[in-house]
Amino acid sequence: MSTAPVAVQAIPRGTLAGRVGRRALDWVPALAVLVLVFVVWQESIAIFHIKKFLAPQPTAIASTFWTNRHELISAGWFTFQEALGGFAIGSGLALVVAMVLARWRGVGRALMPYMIAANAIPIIAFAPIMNAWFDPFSKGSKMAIAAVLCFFPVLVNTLRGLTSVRPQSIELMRSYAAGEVETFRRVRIPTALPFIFTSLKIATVLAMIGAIVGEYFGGAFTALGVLIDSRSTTFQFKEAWAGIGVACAYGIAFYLAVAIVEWLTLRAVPSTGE
Amino acid sequence: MATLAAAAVIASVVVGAATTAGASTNSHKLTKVTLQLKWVTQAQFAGYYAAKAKGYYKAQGMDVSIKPGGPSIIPEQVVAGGQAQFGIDWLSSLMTSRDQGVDIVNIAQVFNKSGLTLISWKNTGLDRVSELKGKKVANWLGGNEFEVFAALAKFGMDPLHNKGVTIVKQPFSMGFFIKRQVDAASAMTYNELAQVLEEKNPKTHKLYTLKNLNVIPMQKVGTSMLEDGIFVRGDWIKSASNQALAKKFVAASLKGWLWCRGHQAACVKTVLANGTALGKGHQTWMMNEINALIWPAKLGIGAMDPVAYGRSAKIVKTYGTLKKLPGREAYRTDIAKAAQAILKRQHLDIYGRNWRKANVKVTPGGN
Repeated sequence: MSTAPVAVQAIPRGTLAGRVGRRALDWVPALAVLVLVFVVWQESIAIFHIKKFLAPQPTAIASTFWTNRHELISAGWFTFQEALGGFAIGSGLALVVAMVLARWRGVGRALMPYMIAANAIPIIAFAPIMNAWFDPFSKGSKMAIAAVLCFFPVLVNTLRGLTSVRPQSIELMRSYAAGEVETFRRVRIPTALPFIFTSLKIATVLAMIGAIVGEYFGGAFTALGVLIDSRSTTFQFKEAWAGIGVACAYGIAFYLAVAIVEWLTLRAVPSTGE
Repeated sequence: MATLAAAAVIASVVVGAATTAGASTNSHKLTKVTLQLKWVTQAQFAGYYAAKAKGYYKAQGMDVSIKPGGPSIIPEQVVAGGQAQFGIDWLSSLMTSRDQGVDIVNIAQVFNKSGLTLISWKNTGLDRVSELKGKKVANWLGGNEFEVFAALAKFGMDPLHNKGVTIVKQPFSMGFFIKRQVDAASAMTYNELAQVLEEKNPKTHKLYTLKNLNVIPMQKVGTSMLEDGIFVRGDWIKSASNQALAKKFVAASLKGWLWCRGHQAACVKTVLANGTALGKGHQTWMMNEINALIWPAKLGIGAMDPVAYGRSAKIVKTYGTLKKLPGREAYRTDIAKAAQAILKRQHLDIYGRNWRKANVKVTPGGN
């Protein structure tokens, strides 16, 4: 991949083993904080006699997870599919629209204030409406919520990325008599990639939120949001917490997956000026 | 109205005489208490709003603030957390909460019949629970599903594991049912059933009628459970002064229900004045149906029927993943009995044997 035609400075790299080793050490303080939080949580419930139904101990949640792992993991998978679908639709559409707006700047300038405004509204408030528009028991209604949630941040960030190219680069491309497509391919998109990936990582989180909150208002019996909601309204807080834990796990895995794609892509496209 | 005024005077005199340690003898100093409802302001809770509006609580030395509920407000949590002294919820919710170590106790069982039904469209032919095999059946879940799950299980389906029937969590409005996105939905006689009947059939441009629907009441299936009742914290009700307060609170509340039995229209007006989401037509239908869940009260309003309690307990144990079968410790009868005695001393009818359901017509959109 180092044969990329655009000349750039080499990214300083150590050996893989060295990198991993250094990375592992970087994690130590974070891990220590995690362990500390769990210990304080566990012990303070015992020490302050906090009612078990208000805040179950981490060990109790863990054992509840283990007992119900099959149900929880498959419920999480069901909801993850909705999040993934919504993420793909919302982000995909946003990328296409962003490119159109970047190509025809007049349209972009006219629409941008509204896009930024839309990005600032709590779109999750539309969740019950989506359930009314689409079949609330289908995956489609949750994908719709997730898609709308993902759309605006990806659009705004991508557009910002595509249009934050240095004018000199564009002029250089023009002097090569490069067309719009070529300019997009060689300059705009590579410049926008860090912006795009940042927004995609945000979108993974939003997609999970959209799917789960959408399910709170109605959905399949086998969905994670339905499980968390109905367990917490019947005082089965250990089960609810275990469900929340599963939601976190899927959410983090989703985020990391995009982060890995980002790392691979940015490594392969050095012109992003790392 | 003259007799009513007289009754109020008598009531206040009786109460004045009966004032005990808990409340101050100073008539201006009312004991502040809070009641947490199960759901939003609607005729389902008419009796409590009436008791407040008619001054029954005040006459018992209480200033009651009524907190409406909602989708994510769990009355048991509010009462257990000390933000309200009294709560209204289904008996099944009380049982599941107790099983999780929440110390709450039922002190008066207001509804003695179940208002839960399964409904389907007439032309589906699904007019019996046995026919729902392999179908999509909706319920709100979160503790409202036990009667329906028991009914389905009675006919060989396994709703808990989504086998033999597909369970979905239904939203709180009935649009999904109108759009036929499920085969059968849960509906309370007093609320969701009316919501469907308040919609216009797009083909005929007329309101849907009961002729368009199959209505399967859980009462008929034999899996009905006790629903709305008044509960308090177990440690709170141990003190004698709180017991005295509870007796008076329940007496005034039940008196509110007695008043709504005889004055449906006026009671609806009171409820509407407190701000309802759905309008007068809907609340009028609801008031009538709610009265049908209370009256006639064979054991007197507020009394727990041990047989219905036992059936409810068994159903929750089977479908609510309870650790143990709820026993007699989940309710006490002394408070309701004392409250009934107070009402009897006022020569009020706590049985309502002569009450007859009115013929209420739904209105478009419940307005």
